[in-house]
Amino acid sequence: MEIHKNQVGNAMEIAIVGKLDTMTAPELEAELNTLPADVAALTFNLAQLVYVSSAGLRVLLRFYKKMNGQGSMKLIHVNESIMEVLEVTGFTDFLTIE
Amino acid sequence: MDLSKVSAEMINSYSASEGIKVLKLLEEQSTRAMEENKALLMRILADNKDTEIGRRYDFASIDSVEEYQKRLPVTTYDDYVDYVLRDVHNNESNLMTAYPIRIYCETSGSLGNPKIVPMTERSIQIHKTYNSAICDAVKTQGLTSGWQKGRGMTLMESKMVQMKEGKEYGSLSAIFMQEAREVLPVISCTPIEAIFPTGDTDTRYLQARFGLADPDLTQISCTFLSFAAELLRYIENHWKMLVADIEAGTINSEIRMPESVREHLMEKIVPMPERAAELRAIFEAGFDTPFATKVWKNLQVISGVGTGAFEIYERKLKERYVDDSVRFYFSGLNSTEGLFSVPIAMDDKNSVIVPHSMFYEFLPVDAHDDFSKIVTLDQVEVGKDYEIIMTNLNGLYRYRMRDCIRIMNKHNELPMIRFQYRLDQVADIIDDHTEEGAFTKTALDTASQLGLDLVDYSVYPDRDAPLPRYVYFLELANVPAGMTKETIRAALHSNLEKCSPDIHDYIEKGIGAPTELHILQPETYMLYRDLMTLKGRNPAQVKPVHIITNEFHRRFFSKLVEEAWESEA
Repeated sequence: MEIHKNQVGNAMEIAIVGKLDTMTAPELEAELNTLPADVAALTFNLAQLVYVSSAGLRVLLRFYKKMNGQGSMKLIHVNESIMEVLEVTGFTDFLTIE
Repeated sequence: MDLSKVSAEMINSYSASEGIKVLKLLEEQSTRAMEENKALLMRILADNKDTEIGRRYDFASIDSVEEYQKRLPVTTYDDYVDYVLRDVHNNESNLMTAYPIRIYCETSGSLGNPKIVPMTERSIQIHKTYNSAICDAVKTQGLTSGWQKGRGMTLMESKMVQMKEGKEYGSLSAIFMQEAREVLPVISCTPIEAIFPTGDTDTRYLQARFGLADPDLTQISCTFLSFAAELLRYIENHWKMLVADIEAGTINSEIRMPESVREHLMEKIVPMPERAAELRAIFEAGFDTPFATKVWKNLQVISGVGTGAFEIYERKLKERYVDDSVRFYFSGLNSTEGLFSVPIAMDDKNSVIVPHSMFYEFLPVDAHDDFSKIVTLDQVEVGKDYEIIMTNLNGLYRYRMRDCIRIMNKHNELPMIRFQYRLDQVADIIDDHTEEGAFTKTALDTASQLGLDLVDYSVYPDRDAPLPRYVYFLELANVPAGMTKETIRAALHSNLEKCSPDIHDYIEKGIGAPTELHILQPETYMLYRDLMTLKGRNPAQVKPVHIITNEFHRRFFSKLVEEAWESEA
């Protein structure tokens, strides 16, 4: 998995490339812990995310909870298979997905 | 209160001495249980005669149990929803109960959405008197005196919220924690910040880190035994980080919590290199033998719900984490709706009913909702299964709990009961009525036979398959090398046939199919709990989904199966 970050002002985009699973979820979690406090708008670009597991979903959930306290979070370019996982697990009920 | 002059031993001893008085009281009641229980019913009816329900059924004119049974129907939550909503939203009072309502509680809602039920001050007093105090009294009678000297680890999170109408909403355990807040640091090594979490605090880390730092810990207390099993698994997986933090006197920077919480916690800790070295030596020796009793040499007892769906965790704790020196105090049948029973001995899954807590009626499970078969506590038969119908101090009258209990014995006149299963937690692929306990035993036996480290399981009765079958979902932490999915599936099926023989007959007759298996991705059950908590459920009330009864759960678990196992030839 690769993580590409781009911050412009208080907006940050994180692009995840590859698989977000048990092995790689801790890498993304490390980003959560170093997320600057001034980030008010967080966007996950999932165009190149090919797989997400339970462990990966838990990390996304933690980002969501953190951003609830400091701004907003959305997912963009979610492909069909990832979208299906998000729908079935109920993430689409609370996440903003464009 | 000057807490510097108070010790854990003083508080635990006081609680135990109060509990011993309550045990004596219960012993007295046990010789005239029906008389006491009938007196309670008459008191409830008299006190509530001017409530809306009391006027509707003319409580004032009821002077016998028989008349009460004739006058009032057996009820379910649907019969009370309007009263609860009028009370909560319109601030109307004297609807269900005349007793002052202290808070509104969330039930665990194991069969659907959680329900809100009122909790009166009188009911809370009963819970306190018979539950907490008796627990400490039984520990005093069953353990060595050392248990009182050490602190405990508290695996409960207190969450109280103010509803927009200004009323308080939370769980029963939250009330107790709030009331004990001042003395908690004396009797519990779990920091207040983990018991009353704010923001996105990683409570599991705090429970583990502060628990490990205390070598004198004597007990672990949790709502459900699953919490203790999960915590010990967390320690097993994260011991290097935890020990490093104890050694350096820090809180790992990657652990989530608000900065103010971190700062406050940092003020409480100091480097503990000797304790860290001791822990490191234990963990580096491996996990082939139970580590909890090496880490905490004075650990004497784990208390929490360990019957029904939670037996799986008791077995896991005994198999993997604690040795025979650790005793268990299994909470009795105890819910937001009321205190049904309390255990009066260590390691005993049976518990005696409490005649001052509620008025008990018992519907034989084999009566299939024929309410004419309902009996009172003096008429129950040992060995028989019943559903409890209760009239409580919170405004519920002849209320069906949908729990199946078995009368195990009698203590004088008091029935000793044991929880069996949720009446709605029974599955059928045809007409087998397989209970949750049978599915649990199947999963546990399979894990034990094959050396699997079972995290949890769910099972779905697939009646849409060409031949109906059960579909198991297992989350496994460790699988022996070379183990195939087919080996696990075959063992599961064989064990399920032993627990539910009808399934074997169905296959023989060609009307049923063998059990199917899917292995779930790691952390699936943690994800489920995280999601339920996000949706507002109290973490202490989220129960495992063992029997899948709705489409959301079926799709949720089906979508999170591990691809690598599915592609196995």
